[in-house]
Amino acid sequence: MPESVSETRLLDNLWDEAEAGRLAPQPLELLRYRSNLLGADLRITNFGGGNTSSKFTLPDPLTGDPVRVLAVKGSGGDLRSIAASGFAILALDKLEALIARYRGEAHEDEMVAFYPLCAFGDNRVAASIDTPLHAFLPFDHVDHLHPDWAIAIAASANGRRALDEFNARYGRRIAWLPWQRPGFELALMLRRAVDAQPDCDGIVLGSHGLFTWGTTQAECYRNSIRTIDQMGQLVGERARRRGGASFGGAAVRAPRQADEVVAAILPHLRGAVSSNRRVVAHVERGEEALRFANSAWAADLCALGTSCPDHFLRTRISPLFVPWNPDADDGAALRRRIDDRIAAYRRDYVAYYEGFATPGSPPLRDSNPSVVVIPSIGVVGFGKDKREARITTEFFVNAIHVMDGATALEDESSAEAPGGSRRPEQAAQFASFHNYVALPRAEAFRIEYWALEEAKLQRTAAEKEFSRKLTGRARRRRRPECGGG
Amino acid sequence: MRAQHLAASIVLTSSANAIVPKHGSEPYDVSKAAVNHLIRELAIGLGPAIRVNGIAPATVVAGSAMFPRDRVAASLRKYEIAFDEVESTEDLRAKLARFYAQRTITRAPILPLDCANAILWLAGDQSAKTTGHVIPVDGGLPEAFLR
Repeated sequence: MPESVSETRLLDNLWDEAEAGRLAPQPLELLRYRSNLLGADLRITNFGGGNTSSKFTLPDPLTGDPVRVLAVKGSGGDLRSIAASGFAILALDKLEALIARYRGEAHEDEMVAFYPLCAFGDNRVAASIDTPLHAFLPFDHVDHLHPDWAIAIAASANGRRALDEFNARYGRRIAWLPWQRPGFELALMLRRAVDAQPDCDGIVLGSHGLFTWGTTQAECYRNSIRTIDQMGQLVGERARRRGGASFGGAAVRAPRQADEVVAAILPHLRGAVSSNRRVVAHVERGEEALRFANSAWAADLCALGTSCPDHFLRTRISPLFVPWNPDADDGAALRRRIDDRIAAYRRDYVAYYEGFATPGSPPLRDSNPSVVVIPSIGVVGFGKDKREARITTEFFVNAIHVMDGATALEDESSAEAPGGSRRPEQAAQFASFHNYVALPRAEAFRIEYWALEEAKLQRTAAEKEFSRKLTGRARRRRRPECGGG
Repeated sequence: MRAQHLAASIVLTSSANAIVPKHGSEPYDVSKAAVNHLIRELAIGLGPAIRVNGIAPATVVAGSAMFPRDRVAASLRKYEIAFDEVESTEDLRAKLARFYAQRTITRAPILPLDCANAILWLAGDQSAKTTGHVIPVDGGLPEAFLR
């Protein structure tokens, strides 16, 4: 029985008709408004994750003729805080013309150099890799988001079946597309998917995220939050129906360690992961993080790795899991185990790089983990400054939500081959654990060492003198965190 | 710091009065003389990874909580500097700061920013080969020249 179209149960509908009416004469401002609303709730999309777009008409600044343009979130932007000036604006007919120049998937990266040539007027905002995904979907307003609930379905071995059940229950027609690295090829796949199923009202991208759309900005926003809300309801209900503890229940029953214990191990841990470049720590000790860290499946899930490219770029292929039981082992044992596991992690990482690198690949980056999971302590994220460390940690909590949802969806159909991959030979690489499917190492490498990702890293500002040495404003802290130096 | 096994830097705040005696200031001056030697001892003990240095400011009047109005007035009277009771506390402080400044080679008042810049240099990698030393930030006091 289809649920009510307008009602959301988990997310709030923040759309204010009066405010939208005020902004209506300026489509770019209305797009900014819609984006800020979507980015305000971390259940809708992660920090910096996803992109929004609108197609409308602007007068050409030289001739005055009406030009149909695409406004889309620029590279590196964040939906919650984006301003109108953060959107790239491109001429749609020029983007369409690129299709004739496309030489095929092996050459898709060369298309990125054409996006600046499609810029409208004096817009110089760097266009994101996802630009053609928005351009080639035949809808005026498109949202591409990374909600944990949707990715849980997208990263499930039985995801296609779960999506069928979702569509039947909510009267939806969401299509499934298998994993494909974002780029021109995926953009054409999206267009073909809508051509093949003209009445589809959304697309789930395997191991990645969600596309929703609308003919007006308000309709697009409503469709997005409604879809995500419904997926949240489905995942939540399956979790309740399955019952039992998540992640196989607790393997370590020792209580949450006191802050002093964490403070005692943090200097050693920070020093260990800073062997190559100094990093700053952020410690997450909330209930969700500890439930995961203490669980029976933590080691396996950490080894398997993350699934959404956005998460993975911050958290690296996989976090480091350091097994520890405070009831059996003391602090000295934990320090030794940290040293051993980090050394092994670095060796594995270098082997991963050497296994997939080609002569054209960017050089090896830091081989240390950026997320460390320790039972009874929690999740520790690392970055070049406090903010980056906190975001890295948040992203791994997003990954925990995804794993929680995907394992909650486990049923008899999970044993079937995962619907994750586009090519049969790739299917075997999509390893899964209790219905959760991680990205294969080969695909992870193609994202991590993507020439385009390298170019983005090169564009970031040079680090300041005390980068990696400061943890933030001086103030009394209750939580232990690594000090500067 | 030691547990991290990373290069680090400690900067202690000493004073020109660690080596320049001042009437009526014994406990403070002696404690700062001890800081000077602590810097040397720690430099040896904590090296090679951890460097230890210090700065030796002379009186910093601007923005200091140590100069309430009555103390400023007492100092002005001690140094026989004329002032009027109706002058603001800020103006009295400025008079005192100018007096101290005139006694230095550079004749400029010492500001918190001057101390911060010296601390910054000692804290960061630019001073990577300096340890066990005290950098004066005193406007240039011949009595405080280090030998």
